[in-house]
Amino acid sequence: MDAFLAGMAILADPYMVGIILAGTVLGVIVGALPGLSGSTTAALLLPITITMSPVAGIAFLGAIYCAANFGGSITAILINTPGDPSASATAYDGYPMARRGEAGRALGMSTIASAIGGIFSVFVLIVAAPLLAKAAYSFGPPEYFALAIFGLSMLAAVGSSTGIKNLMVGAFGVLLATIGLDLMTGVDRFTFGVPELSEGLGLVPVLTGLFAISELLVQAGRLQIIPERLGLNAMKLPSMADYRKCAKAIGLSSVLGTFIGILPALGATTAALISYNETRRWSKYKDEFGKGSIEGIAGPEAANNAAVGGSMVPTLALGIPGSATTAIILAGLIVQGVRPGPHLFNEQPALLYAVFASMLASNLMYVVLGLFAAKLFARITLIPDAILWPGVLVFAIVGAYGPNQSLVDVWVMLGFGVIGYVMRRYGFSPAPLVMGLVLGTMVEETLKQSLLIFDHNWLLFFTRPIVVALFVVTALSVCAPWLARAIRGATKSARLRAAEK
Amino acid sequence: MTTRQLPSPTTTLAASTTEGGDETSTTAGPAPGRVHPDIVTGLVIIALCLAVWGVTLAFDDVPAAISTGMGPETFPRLVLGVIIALSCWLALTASNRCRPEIEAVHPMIYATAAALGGVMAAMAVFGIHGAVVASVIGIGRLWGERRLPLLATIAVGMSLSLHFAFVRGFGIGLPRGLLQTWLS
Repeated sequence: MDAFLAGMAILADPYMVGIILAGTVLGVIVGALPGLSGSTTAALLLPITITMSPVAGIAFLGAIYCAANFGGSITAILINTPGDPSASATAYDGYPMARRGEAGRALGMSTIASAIGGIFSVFVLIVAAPLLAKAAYSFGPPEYFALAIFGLSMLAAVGSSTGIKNLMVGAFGVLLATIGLDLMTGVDRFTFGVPELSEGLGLVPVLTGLFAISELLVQAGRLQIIPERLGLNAMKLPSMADYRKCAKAIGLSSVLGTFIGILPALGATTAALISYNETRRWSKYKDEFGKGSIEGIAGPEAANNAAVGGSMVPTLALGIPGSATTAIILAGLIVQGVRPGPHLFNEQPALLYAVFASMLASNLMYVVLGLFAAKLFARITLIPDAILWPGVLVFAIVGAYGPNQSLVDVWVMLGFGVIGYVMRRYGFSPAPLVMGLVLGTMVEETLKQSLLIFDHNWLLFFTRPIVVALFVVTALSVCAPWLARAIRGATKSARLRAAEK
Repeated sequence: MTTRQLPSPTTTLAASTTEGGDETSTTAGPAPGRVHPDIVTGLVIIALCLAVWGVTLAFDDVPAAISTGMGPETFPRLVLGVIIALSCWLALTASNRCRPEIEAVHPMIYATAAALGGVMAAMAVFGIHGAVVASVIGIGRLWGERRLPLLATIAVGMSLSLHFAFVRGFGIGLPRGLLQTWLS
């Protein structure tokens, strides 16, 4: 309780409130800019957090993460272009509402639903993270190995066609994590004589390359596409009738979004898309979806913000990132000398509760910003690409160079920019690479430690119940898309046979 | 001029990933007489993995005294084996999937990639301020912004902001470049 109160006390510190406000405003601004997602911004601004205290740095990144998801809905509604991928489902009904002259009502519902989803998930985080950490307190290297493999396997759980590609990219990330000095033997691996690579690839250059530079190249090919911009007369709070209509959608999506966020690798985008479909399935007004349904905004917006708090649960309790953005927050914690995991809850509980408090504050701040300054934020989209993206490039260079003061890191960033572009071109998402890169070191270290414990007998993995349970869940999550397809096929053929009879 | 059209959430979900997207769209069924791009992709990745496997053969030998457990090459080879297996699966099951429509690379993408090289060259010689000018004015002009005074103002403003915010404010050093190092 003392730690909880100490954590919440940061909200009385004007400096911390200023940091959270700055993170929230930045998050809404970059969330509203098409192409610049919360993960890109967190990666670009990570070097700045080095100069802050651990609590301030993580509060800043946490606020950006919370606010960017909301910011994405502004452009999704007004110009049919989601500022953040997690707002893509919002555009489907938000833009038709804006075309009907109801942009203010759509943004009002987006703001309120986002805040409810976000605050709900922070409370789940406050309760669930310590419980999960307590459960994981007795975990040894074999359990962590199985957990990391489970985290990577979740990459396969989204769609059967992209699942295999996600797994390949995740494995590529694990391979990249092996670059540098092997800690057990001191042998250089894949460094090709470049001394700067001995400590491995920096996470920030890789992330800025994959997200910011590859997006810059994508935008270069889209300069001829001019979005249609709709006006926003005034923000309008949803009516009581709107609340009654959307209550079920917000409740269902908040729970669903938090749960999806807790699962490693599945982030806000997946939560929003699944919630959109579920909101439609359970709605009394299915016909309105796609034509400007207010439930179609409330559901995904509640879910994508609920996923934020959810994805922080495994990140803080286990050190397994719940999404690409939490992978960057994880990197931020490590840079600050804080190693996330169950021990953190005993060693630095005040820091954790400060993170929870900052996320709570950020969710409340963007309600005010969303309702009173959405018109201003909408104007950000008027910045021409020819001015915006060269500026992003400069910040990417500074972000990549900053942590190690190394030009090699800038070249790494450019290299991964091109790799990211090629990957996206051939249907490979760059996000799983981040998961692989972050979890790769853990996978290798815990595997080696486990084998030492087991005297190199791989079969002894199966003598530990938690490991076996995690391996079973891993196998299920890898096979889930194919199993689902097989079940659907069998059901369909059974129905056809029944119809023939 | 074209306006953006978004796919429906139902179709997006099938192609969605964690927090990113891809640049391809799909058409149902294989087109006759053309190799599925996933087969080519799978084979290219297998070839690359074999090349990386070759690199692991050149790792330094581990002294016998510390050669207990997994060697430095074992784990990377294990991962390469997984990628090769997944690539085989991707290529073998390609016919079950829709064929992605991969558009030709827009010439502006090549021009921008070349401009990125120019920005790096400017940074090597003139430091971060050279990179700012090359980026804001060079790429800005390339992307169609014709108001040179505006671009110049932004470049100067950004250079000053970076200096005062990062160097003076946060104490983070920025690339100096050969010229600046030589002059100081």
